[in-house]
Amino acid sequence: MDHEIKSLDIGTMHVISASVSADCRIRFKKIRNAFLKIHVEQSMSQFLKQEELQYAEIGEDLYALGDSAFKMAGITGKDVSRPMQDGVLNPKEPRAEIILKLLIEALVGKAQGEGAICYYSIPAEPFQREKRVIYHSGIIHTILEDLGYKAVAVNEGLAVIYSGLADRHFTGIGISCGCGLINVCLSRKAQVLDAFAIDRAGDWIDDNASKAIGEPAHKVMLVKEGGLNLLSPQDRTENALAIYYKDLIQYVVECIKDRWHDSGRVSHFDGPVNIVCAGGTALPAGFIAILRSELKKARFPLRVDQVSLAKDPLYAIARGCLIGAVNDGSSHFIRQCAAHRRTACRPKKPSPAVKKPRSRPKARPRRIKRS
Amino acid sequence: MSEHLPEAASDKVKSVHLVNIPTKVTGVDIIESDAKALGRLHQKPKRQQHQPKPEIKLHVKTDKLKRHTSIKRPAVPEASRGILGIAFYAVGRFISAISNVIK
Repeated sequence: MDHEIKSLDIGTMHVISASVSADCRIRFKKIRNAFLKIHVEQSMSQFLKQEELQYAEIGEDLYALGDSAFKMAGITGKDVSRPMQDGVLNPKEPRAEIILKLLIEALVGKAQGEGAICYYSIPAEPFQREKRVIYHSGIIHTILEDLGYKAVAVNEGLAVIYSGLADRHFTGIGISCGCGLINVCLSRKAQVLDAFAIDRAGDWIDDNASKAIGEPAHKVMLVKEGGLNLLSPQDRTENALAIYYKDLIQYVVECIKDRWHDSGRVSHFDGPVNIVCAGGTALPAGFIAILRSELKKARFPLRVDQVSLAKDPLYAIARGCLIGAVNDGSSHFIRQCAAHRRTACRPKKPSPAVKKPRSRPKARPRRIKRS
Repeated sequence: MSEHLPEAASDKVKSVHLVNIPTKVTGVDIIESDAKALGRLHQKPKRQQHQPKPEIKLHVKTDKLKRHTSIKRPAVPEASRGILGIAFYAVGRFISAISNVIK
């Protein structure tokens, strides 16, 4: 591949990268956006290496990273720390920037040559919050430029639209349901008409459900990620999660309705629009059904045609950012893929047939004339 | 914007061990078609090229051309003939010329 093309979905719970490999395939890599400070002992780093856990030594401290942080949290009984909170860098963690830099470098690596592109997702500014997105975006931009990439920021909601509404000319509503924020984007032919964020999301559900039933938040999170069905909860924990999910969806629909009611932004649309959702918080079964019913109840300012979940909702934002990056470096990518396809599909030349030697006809016996 | 993240001495990274990151591989076809669709939307519309005006060949004899190209001044009306009439006519023409210039 002449030019590297990569993308990053930098979420509160997961950091996901997508890259186009030389054989024209897309590789998605996912890592938990978490760390845990471990007591430094000589045996500890050996133990971590033997168990093939992910860790880093920073200064005089040892940190378990990613999924290993959750494993060590289960062993030690501590809570994991997060470099991000509410969709942006966590101001309470002094090492948030360094940890995030290590995770990003592990996913995308250093750029191999010139012209490498990396599109990364950023949230929109939430309602009535101080402007932390500017700092967050600036740090990510610096990290990627340091690794040798041309870094371009893409709104999360727009990335969902790139991923899920290509058949509708990138027109409609994209909702990214993450852990820290829910990002909403209204777009018409890939032009953003409005983008905003709501500060209730997956973490809000976990915190409130855990307080309501007296269970630790990480246990509630495991139940949520373990195949929850919002329409038929099986036990007390699932019931609490279903109640808070319904409340969250109602709140999101009300926020969108209040923002776009009597707004010139929706006057661009004559016909109904599609809504596509993505992100880990939208994964539980019944999410789309509840959203459809809430949209029907509320007097939504736009006519809605279809409400659907993006294909591979957890990877949809990274995929959407990759579509933007491919469009940026499109001529090289499309040429490269076409050439790769030609060589892969070229029919094999048949092997030359082995020519059998001509067999000489048997000599006829001579007739001897008798005089 | 600074090219590098500022790093304090206490924040120096001594070693990193990030292995076994879960990877998922898919084909590229869908992304390629979606990126082409996005590219088509971002393309500016092609300007219509102005067609050159066709050459008009005049098949006119030169003496007729000269006659047609000469500027004919309108004739002085009969009522204006006479010195006073001519004077009034001249003043009127002068005033209209000045008003055209002012416009």
